[in-house]
Amino acid sequence: MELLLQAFSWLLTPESWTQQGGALQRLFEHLGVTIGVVALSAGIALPLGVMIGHTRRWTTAVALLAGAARAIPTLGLLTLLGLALGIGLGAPVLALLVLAAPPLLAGAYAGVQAVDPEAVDGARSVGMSEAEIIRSVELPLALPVIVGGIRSATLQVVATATLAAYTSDTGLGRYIFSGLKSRDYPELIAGSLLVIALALLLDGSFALLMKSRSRAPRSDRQTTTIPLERNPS
Amino acid sequence: MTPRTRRFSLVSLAAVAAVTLSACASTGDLDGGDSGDDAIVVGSQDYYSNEIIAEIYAQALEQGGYTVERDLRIGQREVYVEEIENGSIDLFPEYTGPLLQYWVPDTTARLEDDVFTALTEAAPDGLRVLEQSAATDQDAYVVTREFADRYDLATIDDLAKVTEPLTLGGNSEGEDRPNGPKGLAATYGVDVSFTPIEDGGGPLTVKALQDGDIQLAIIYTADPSIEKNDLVALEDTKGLFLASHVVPIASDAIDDGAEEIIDAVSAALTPEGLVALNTESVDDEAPAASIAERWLEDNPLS
Amino acid sequence: MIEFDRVTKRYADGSPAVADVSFTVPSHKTVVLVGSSGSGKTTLLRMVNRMVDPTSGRVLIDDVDVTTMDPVRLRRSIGYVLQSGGLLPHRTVVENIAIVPRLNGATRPDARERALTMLDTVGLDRDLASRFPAQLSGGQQQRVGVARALASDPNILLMDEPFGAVDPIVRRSLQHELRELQRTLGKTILFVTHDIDEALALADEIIIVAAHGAIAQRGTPTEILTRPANAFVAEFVGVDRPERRLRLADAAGVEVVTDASGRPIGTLER
Repeated sequence: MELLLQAFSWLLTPESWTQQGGALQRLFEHLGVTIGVVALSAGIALPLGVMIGHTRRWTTAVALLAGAARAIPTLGLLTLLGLALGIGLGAPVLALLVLAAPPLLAGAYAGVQAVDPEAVDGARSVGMSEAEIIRSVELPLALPVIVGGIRSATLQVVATATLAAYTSDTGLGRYIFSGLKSRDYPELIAGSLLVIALALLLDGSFALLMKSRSRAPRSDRQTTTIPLERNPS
Repeated sequence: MTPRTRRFSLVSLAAVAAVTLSACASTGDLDGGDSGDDAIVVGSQDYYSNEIIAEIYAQALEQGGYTVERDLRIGQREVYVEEIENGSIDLFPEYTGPLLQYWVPDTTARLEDDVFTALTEAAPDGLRVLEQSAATDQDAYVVTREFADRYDLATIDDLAKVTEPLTLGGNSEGEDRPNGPKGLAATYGVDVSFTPIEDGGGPLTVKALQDGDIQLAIIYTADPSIEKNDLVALEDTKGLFLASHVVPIASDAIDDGAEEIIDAVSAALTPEGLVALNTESVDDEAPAASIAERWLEDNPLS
Repeated sequence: MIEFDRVTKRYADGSPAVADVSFTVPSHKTVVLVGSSGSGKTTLLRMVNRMVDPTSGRVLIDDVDVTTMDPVRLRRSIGYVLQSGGLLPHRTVVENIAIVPRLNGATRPDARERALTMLDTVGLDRDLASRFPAQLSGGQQQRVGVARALASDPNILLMDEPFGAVDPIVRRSLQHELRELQRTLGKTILFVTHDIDEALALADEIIIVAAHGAIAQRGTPTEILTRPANAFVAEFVGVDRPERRLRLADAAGVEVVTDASGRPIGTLER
């Protein structure tokens, strides 16, 4: 209890935030790493997942691979990568990319596969190309599940991005390692509280996002918003 | 017997047994401690390097005609120091720095001779400190051989000759402690920045040194990786780190003859020699006893 | 004109969906493929717009082999109505109808105008334009499906049990409207159903399909009814069913048409 109070008093001291290596700086670093990793991983995993869901091929192989990837301990992977790449942000970021990929991949292919096959068949039969089907039918209808995957990945990454501090002067993990190694438990607790707060903030943002999309009355949308491209006839 | 009497009997039986057992325990060995047939009890820490040194002591004494019993791999300092003090252990390899800090927590001694003197004074009754060895097992600032050659570095003072920015990489506890960057600045006038590498002086830290991402690391002097990676430990002339030499502590059961043998071992154990022992253990995974045996063959004492 | 020339479709496990089927659909006529489920009639239909390609044999539209045509462009030139409608649930009625014109490059205003016209054509209120398919009844969804198929004014309409999912009364009215539409539009229609009565109601020609697409009989509705070629056709048409064997009865000077068991169906008009 004493330690918790000390942690809070540390958090409430302005210098803790504004000083060099202070909480504000660490928060931004941590957020930056999280967003960067999720964006990068999504750039690879989402298109891959959409293709797999659309073609309905390789689903078993990919599911097994994603499951295996989930089982990799991130710190172990980070150490291996660090031995190859040296210290800095490279190894942690790569390890976190591997962490983020399975939920992103799963969200993408599960979401696309769950789209009503009748709607897809109907779209194909009126003359939409496969690309148009993905863009105009599968992606919009799979979006809630895909966003769910992004949300899940974000949460995992923000909690594990503390590992960036293992080999680099970055993020909230600095408080955690420093507090742990030098037995400064208020610092350790304060760092953990900040990570939790950031996680809640991010997760809450996703919740708000999901809610706002489903609440928007459909009839408000412009009726001319058919996102089909001009086809040279 | 009524249930009540029965219970009473059991309790008293248990009490007698407990007293007997604890009496046996507190004398440690049923044989040891008496001035008649004295086997010397040699103990060690639960640290592979320490165990090898203890084995060397034990085998050296056996070669000298003494009967030895081993009680190796005991846990924390709190536990085994008590056993040495009450005579259940007779001989134990220790390290001057940490042991001094254990007995005198606020000691200001840092250099090897000051530490040894203070340690000798601090030793409680029934226990004495024998000659310290040249072999050390302590934290040290370490650079690559290439870096040391480039700037002709042998001591930490020599870092003043370095013309490029210096970065220390290591556990985050090193960032703020008195012998970290603050200590380097205050005691040696050397400015270093800090970057965290949380593997405790392990492979990531070594690689960072070799890559040039950091120029300084803190690795303990008996770590095999110093030799294996051709690193150089800089001499701590001003005592930033607490000096820590291998030193045997002994109970009164160690007679002059035994003391002479152990002193010979301490004299023969060099810093490089200790690193070599550790390397053998880590690389070959040989048991402590055989490593000790080989060392005694290579370093005959008489 | 659509021609099926010795068409066979075999699936990966070697089983044939259709085996060596040949027939033609004359231009501007309504041909109905009738058969029980699994007879391969839907497979034959889906070969016309290359949703399925034959394993051997050819399908020709106006003497051009469809496999030589780009499937996407082919499908945009053919109207296709599915049983469930196949509408996009996340697009409004107007957006759904306007899909093919937009795919073909029409501007949004033009496509929208065309879509609204189609609503009129299929007899739907323009108020429904901004609704979503889920907000429509089954019959309304089917009409939107037809409107969508007609939107780009294709020559060919493919219809796969389009009225199967609605109740009989709505179905009958939809069938009637289709006949009326066909009278004005004159499309080439290939229509698939398992309901012989629907075939009798809609077809210029009926093709009765047995297992693996084998043609049991081909003829006009009257021919099928009056001269079933074999027992299979007779059974399928239900020549012995009471409602097929109509009688005239006299009810106080009025000629009443009854079924074989005497239930009244209507009055005779001379």
